Amino acid sequence: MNRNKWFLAIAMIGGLCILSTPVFSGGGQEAEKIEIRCYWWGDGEAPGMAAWMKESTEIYHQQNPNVTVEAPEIPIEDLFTTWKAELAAGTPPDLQLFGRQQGMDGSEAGNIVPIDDYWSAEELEHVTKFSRRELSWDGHTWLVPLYGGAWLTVLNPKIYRETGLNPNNPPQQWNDFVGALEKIKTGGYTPFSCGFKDGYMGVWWACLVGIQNLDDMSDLHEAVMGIQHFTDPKHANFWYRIEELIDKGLFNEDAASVGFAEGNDKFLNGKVGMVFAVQSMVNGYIKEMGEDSVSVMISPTPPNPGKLAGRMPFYTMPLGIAKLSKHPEVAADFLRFLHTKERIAAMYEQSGAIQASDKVTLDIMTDADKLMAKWAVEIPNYTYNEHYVPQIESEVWASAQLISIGDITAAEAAQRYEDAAVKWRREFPDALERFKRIADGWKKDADKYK
Amino acid sequence: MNRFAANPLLQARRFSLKPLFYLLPAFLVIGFIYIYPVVEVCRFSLLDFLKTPRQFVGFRNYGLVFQDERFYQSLFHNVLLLLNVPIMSTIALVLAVVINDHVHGWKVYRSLVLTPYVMPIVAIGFAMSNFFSLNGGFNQILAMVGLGFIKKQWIVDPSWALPTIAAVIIWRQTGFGVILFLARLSSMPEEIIEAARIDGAGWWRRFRKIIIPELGTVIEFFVTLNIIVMLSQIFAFVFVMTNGGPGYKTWITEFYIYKEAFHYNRMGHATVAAVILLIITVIFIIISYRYREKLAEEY
Amino acid sequence: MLVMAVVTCYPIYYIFANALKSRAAYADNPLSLPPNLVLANFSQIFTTPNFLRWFYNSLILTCTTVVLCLFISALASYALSKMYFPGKKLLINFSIALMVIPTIVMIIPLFVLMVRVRLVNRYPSAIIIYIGMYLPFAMYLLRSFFVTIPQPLIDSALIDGCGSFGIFVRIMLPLSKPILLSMFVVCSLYVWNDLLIALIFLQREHLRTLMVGLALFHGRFSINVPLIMAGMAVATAPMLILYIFAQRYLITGLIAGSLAGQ
Repeated sequence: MNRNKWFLAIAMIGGLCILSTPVFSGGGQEAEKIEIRCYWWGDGEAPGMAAWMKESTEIYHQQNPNVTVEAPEIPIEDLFTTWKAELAAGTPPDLQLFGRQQGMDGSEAGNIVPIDDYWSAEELEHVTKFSRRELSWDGHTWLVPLYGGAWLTVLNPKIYRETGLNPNNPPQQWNDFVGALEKIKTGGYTPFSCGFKDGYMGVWWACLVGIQNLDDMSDLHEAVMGIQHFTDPKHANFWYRIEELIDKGLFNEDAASVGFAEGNDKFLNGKVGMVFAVQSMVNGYIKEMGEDSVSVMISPTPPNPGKLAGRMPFYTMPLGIAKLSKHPEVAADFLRFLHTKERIAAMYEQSGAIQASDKVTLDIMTDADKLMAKWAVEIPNYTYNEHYVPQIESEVWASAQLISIGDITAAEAAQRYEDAAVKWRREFPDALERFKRIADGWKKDADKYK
Repeated sequence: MNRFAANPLLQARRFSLKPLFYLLPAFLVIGFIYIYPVVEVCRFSLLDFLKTPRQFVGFRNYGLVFQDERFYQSLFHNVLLLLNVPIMSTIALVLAVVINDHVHGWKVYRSLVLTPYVMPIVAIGFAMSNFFSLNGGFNQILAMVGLGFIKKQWIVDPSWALPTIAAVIIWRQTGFGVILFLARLSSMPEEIIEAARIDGAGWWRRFRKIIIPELGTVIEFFVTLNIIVMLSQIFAFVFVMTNGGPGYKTWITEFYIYKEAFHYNRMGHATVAAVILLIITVIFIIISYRYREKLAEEY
Repeated sequence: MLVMAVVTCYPIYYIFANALKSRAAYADNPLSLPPNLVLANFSQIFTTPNFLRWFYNSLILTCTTVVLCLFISALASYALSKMYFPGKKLLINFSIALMVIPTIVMIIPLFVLMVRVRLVNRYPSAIIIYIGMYLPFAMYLLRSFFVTIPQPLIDSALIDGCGSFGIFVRIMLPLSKPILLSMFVVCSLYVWNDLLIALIFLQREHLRTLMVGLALFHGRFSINVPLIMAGMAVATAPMLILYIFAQRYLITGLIAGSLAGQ
């Protein structure tokens, strides 16, 4: 009797153990805490993004209780150096916001895993075409947009009407554009406002106007590689356009001594005809000045346009998954979550940022944003400043400062631009090899992304 | 007499180990903050940072830096700034003497003159770069005194950006000099000056023959100090006011090192420049030390 | 001499005046007194995310550095002034010589090291560097002062059976109160106003010091000058207050270094 009782007891306990093993081990697997770190720049560009990200991490945690996503904000200037530092220490974040397209530099290729290892082709199709092309190289798509930005020209319809211009038919061709600026000037307003002190504006001119002289980004690649030259007319044109506006006095008087942000801010005082802006700035203007003082247009097309003329650049701020990440598939899944229709809509509502995806909800957008989203899909343009290398860009900044103060001519600026490329090729032969390879791949993909 | 007997502290031999404990924390920190980095900087300058693991490349980095025009520009700008040291010293000296002569309320002036020195460079830099911009205060003042026609964009003008920064540095450092000289002047025996005044020596005579020799060592100290400042303590001014612009017109060696290391990721260039800066600084110090010895001999 | 007051204090006026203007008023005339006092900038700067955090960071760094630095340097100066051991002269001269080494030279290897030991973006990295930077000057000052403390005082304490540390705490430190106070002020000034070290070693937004935060304080696409001026005003205020109250000590501290060695 006792023996039987013991036997029964042991059997029951044994049975319980066996039965509970799946629960425990399954629970054990589920209980494994996964931490995903995502380094990005928070509200650096679009206020409200930080709140959205926080909300996203919270919802994701609710849906996946064992996963905690941490998204510390890092200042723009330090984003890349922090990445490098942590990479060197062997502990990079799982997700990193690549503020610069490290693709062209090719240097990050060994440090990230392509997203198409984790996302299916159909999922990737939703990312807008031109953006996707810029995030792909070497036969893979590597990065996923965190958000996108429309990049265009803003005008003040009130000033337009006052000076006899039609805000519903903004001047797209260069000569009309200059004519409009001159009319605004005679009307007593500042025609075009920008700030060159920190040099950043130079890049904007290249990205919004200069790009329209090119036929494809391979033109820019070839200039970087030395096959074409930055002193060629199609590459140097934008410098001459800046010089033209300076000579004609169509910029704000203190363009050289105010920084980029301050120059653009002048639009808010209601006495400026036009500025360059990204979408978040447009929304800022609308908020402060009201919709009837703010209108958008595609940036003016310079003389001798190439095939990329008349298009609106739509840049993306992409996230990449580190190769050393312990849970890349979870990181990829978080990205998938961020690209759901609901999250995309929430991002727009909280920060006004538009995702580079066809899942955007147009109905909730303001008129200006609707236009921008429409142009992003119908006539997108590439992001000029992501198709060269940082060392060359610094020269654009420096030359922009000098040309704005009248210290150098456009021809000299173009020459400096070319000299920087020559110098880079000489000092970084390894990087040049990488660049060549990626430029080749770009050319080969041309048909895929018609 | 046996020096050990004179000082009880020294008598007990057991104290021979005590100093170590007192010195240890300080010299540990010094070793960590001064010795290790100086050695490492020299070592880094001989390595190639782009390859992992870092490769020894001898003097290749030096070659690259010596071919870099920006490096020479940076050094040159430092030299230009060094030329301001005599100006600064003179202004400080004159101010100190003037303040000392007019005894009433000199303490107030002393306080005022040091105020720039306590303000954060970030705040000064930002305020001044606005002040010197096209529609900033300086041009307004020029207009008010009828000099409006020389209105310029001072802080971004290629020829004027560096002088503008120099002006701000002078404005800040002069105050320190004034209180330095004042302190020395006020401890100077009155009789000498009185005697000279009675003898009929004019202001300039008094200044040259008496005050300068008396203050000689202090002046020399101030000059040395500011040489060091102009070489290695003006990063904040450049960073906040012009960030090196326009073009590369306000790059200085510190800024070159910073940019090369943290912006362009070219550690080789940065460390080479750091080594050279160190060598130049040391040379200046040795020169000034020799000069100080010579001065001490003469007087 | 009114000229001098204007010239020296002008930036203070500039900062505070513009901090009290609205954006439009500043755009109109940066030189003038505010047409109407706008306190919004100040309230806005305090509610700007991380601003108070930056202030707090600066405060922590300053206080910790000063306390630790004074303590460490006092210990070392005591040994260098009152004790005898081989190589003392060498150590003294050596530590004085350290003052000339440019900070930027030290920064790079230290940064690489800190990255490797994962101390970047943590307080200790900046603190230890600040301490190191100020140490030679502190040691020099304190040593010169300690040397002037009369030997008989120490002798009588020894006779009373005081150990060396007891002497340190009961005699050297209390007598040095003025010079310690001066060093406190000068060191606080140095750490609070510093930009370079904080810029490199405390990069994360929530770790920045006030100076770094303000220097980098511009959203990518917008700028509000009066707001930044308000920030600058807040950053300058503590030092100004310290200056007004502790002027004497500051001046003593600054000139003691140069005169003591004469």
